Amino acid sequence: MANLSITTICNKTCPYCFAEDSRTQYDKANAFMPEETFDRTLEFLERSGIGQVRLLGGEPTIHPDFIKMVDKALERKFHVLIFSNGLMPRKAIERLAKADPETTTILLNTIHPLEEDPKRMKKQQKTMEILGPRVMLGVNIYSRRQELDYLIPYILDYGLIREIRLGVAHAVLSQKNVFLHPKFYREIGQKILSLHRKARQHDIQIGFDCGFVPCMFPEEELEELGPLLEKTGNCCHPILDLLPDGKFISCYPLNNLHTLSLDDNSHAAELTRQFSEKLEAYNNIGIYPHCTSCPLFQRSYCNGGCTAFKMNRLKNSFAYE
Amino acid sequence: MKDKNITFLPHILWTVELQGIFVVDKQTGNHYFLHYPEAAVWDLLSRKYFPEQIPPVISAIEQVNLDAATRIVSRCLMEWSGYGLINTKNEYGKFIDHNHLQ
Ligand code: SF4
Ligand code: SF4
Repeated sequence: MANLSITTICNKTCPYCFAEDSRTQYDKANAFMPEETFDRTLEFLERSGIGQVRLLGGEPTIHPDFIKMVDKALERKFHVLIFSNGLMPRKAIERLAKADPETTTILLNTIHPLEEDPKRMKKQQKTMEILGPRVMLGVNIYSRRQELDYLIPYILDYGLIREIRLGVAHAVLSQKNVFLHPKFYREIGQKILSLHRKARQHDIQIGFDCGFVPCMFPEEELEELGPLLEKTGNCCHPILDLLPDGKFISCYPLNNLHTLSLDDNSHAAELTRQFSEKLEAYNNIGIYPHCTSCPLFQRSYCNGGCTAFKMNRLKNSFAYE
Repeated sequence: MKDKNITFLPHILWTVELQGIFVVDKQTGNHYFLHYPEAAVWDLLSRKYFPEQIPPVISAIEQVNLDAATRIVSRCLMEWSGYGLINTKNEYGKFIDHNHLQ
């Protein structure tokens, strides 16, 4: 897996944005991935045996060459996954509306309608209406008060893909974004379980992004999660996010930690190995002080959650400063 | 005036765990898990205790006499200095001002 951040520019300001650190790092002139870098990336993906082009941003659909990039990827027989906030330029929507839902998916990130600006919400809904079966809903959980009840009606009303991607908003290393503190994981776990129950009634699947941990859910209800349970625990690995300038980072929250350059020999497996090596030390702790005593940690069933949060737990205190 | 002779090096990060203290050198990735009483020595240093103030506390926590506590502290400082975790101006043995302890 590798994500291509084709632009750091966004037309929205989500409070939890993971790209916060990298967005502030680029001036406008360097904020769009040049075509030549994109072409080299397609070669990198082919060389690495990765069959999917994952475009993200910022908001990827505002890249001036967005349509060209989608076309190029489809021509080379990649599946295209676009991470979007749904506020797309008209031309991008028109192009995506013609795409085969089998080859092109838009992962549309939403927030609760009550928290969304009404104009933007309308625009998002319009995108869902037009792109229907190409759209999968996603939500990043950044607050313990976040409600998830609006997702199922959207899927049913607009005929969207019957799957919901849930993500936890993790802290970037600078902690400049709003993130869900692990002390609230159990509260959110209850809401996820309740969504999972309702989704099952409509034959809708739930999917987890990285960083979910088993102790978010009450032990006696873990079995109810079924195969989803396997998506918790050991779910923090280098993702390989490629920034517009051709530099790889392990993942957005770890943006400031280490970068590797895309070159003509880069291979995803080797980059993943190098990032993993850099992060190895942090496998010895978890997001909570009690993780190291947790039987799931000791049996390597859980690696203690998000590495970025673990690193945020670490401090450097000078004895006599 | 006491000598300000110990600092944690800037590339050293640490966090308190339930069973001790995890210390990592972010440059090399070398990492250490300090169990008690070593973790208590680290914790006291981080709370701006001077080295000579630490043995009495360790002696109380560990229920050992002051000499034994002083040896624990000296051993910690020697090891941590060797691992490149702390910065010391003097030889580790000189941290412990025996006259001050009496
Ligand atoms: S290792 Fe930590 S995060 Fe994982 S299940 Fe145990 S307590 Fe939870
Ligand atoms: S550090 Fe791991 S869990 Fe956290 S955001 Fe990155 S990949 Fe996901």
